[in-house]
Amino acid sequence: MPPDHPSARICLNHIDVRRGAEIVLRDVAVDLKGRGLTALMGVSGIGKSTLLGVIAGLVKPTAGTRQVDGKVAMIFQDPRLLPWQSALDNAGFGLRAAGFSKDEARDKTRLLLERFGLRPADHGKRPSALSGGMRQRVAIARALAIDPGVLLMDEPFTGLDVSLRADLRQLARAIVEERNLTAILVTHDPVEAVMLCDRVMLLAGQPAYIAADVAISPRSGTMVEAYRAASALMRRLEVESGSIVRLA
Amino acid sequence: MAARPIFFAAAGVACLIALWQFGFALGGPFVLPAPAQTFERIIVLGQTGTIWQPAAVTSAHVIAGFGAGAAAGILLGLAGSALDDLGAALEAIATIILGVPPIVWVVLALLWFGPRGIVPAFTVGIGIAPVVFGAMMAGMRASRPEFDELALAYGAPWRQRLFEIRLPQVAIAVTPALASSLGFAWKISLMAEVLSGGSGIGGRIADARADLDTVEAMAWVVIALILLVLTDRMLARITKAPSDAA
Ligand SMILES: Nc1ncnc2c1ncn2[C@@H]1O[C@H](COP(=O)(O)OP(=O)(O)OP(=O)(O)O)[C@@H](O)[C@H]1O
Ligand SMILES: [Mg+2]
Repeated sequence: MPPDHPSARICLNHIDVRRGAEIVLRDVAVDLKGRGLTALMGVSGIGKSTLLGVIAGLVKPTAGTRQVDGKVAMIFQDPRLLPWQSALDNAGFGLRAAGFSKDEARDKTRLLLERFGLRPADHGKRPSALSGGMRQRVAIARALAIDPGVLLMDEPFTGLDVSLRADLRQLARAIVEERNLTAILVTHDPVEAVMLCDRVMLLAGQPAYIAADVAISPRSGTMVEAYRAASALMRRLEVESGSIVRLA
Repeated sequence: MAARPIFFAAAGVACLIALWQFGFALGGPFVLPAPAQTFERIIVLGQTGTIWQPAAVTSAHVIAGFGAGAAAGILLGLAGSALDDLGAALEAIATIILGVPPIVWVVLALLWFGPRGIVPAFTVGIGIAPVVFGAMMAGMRASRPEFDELALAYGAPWRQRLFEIRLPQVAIAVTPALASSLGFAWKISLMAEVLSGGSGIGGRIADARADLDTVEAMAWVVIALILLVLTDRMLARITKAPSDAA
């Protein structure tokens, strides 16, 4: 059902971003194309959300060039659902923005919500009547409903319990594969990175730049493998960035 | 409403009536008429049909004043938040109008319009408009930037931004102001009617007072209270929907 997005591409060059008086990003370059999930890591406050904002066109860089081919969908760090709309209508927000009627948007998002584990009985509920995990699923469905080529996920699994987290991780990976997405996942968790992602980029420095960019292969299938791979990843990031890597 | 809150609401009303009975026993019929006598009078007023015309007249004052005041407040709020300078000017005017006690408006309205039905409606409208205007300005200002960012991220057109993001936030700010204004409208209308005479419930209360007929006066007060509670409940039902998240 989903078409290929073989041409999706994110290309940033010499990007500087200033927020207020402070320079947050300096000379950032990113080049991602085709199917794949890239982890974006770095200590809290370094500028990960800001970088996603630049890619999505929400944050204007003060210098540099940005080229993004393909429709971009963003999953924000908070679910960011409209409190006055049902789960179903929240999930259809992007479709209505694209010109679909309210009913068309509902028809198109019902199956998607069910796939993400929201029973039809929950579709009419307002976000305040949903659990945290369900809200997150609605936010993910809203992003995927517009059939994007580029998917940006800003820590979508934080604050969820361990088993829910594992479920949603698998689902996210499966979707990247089946829809051929060019995707970025912001995460603080190296285990998540080695289990889900093909590549890891590390933001570090003051102002921040891409201090390390390493490929992951193969991805870890079991937790034991993942823990071993995660510590190896941390070592590689430290060698490449030439600094002690802190993530939280 | 569930059975339990209804029970306790009824118990509260019963307590009040008991206090009223006590006041009657203490002060005699010229201070407070007996509750039983008052309710009998209400029934008589109902049976003879006397109740309807004043109730209709007062309702008309309330609806006209509330409608005009709310509409003016909403429209001026929209204009004031679209044009900053106009907004600043209107806010100053609203502050001044709010500072004028309603009774002064009654006196002014009597001077301007004479003892006519427009006096209560005008007093209601001018009391409500600045309150609704203020809530409207606050609602337009209090837009949450993260939702604007969401709209930007999905390329939402202006219609969607207005109807799905802006107006719901405004409604959340304005609904409580409208609800409290409606209760205010009844009280102000009654006061204006008592002072300006006429055929509304307030006029009946004034007549009864002139005749030293405390039973009749109290009966009309209770009728006005019943109407107030009914409209309040009705409005609560209508506006229950967008209550979450401020
Ligand atoms: N809207 C804003 N206005 C001004 N400064 C901002 C804004 N948003 C973020 N910043 C600043 O930009 C810097 C990077 O913030 P950003 O949210 O991108 O970090 P982050 O890496 O996503 O952090 P976290 O892991 O905690 O989410 C911070 O120093 C923050 O103070
Ligand atoms: Mg962030």
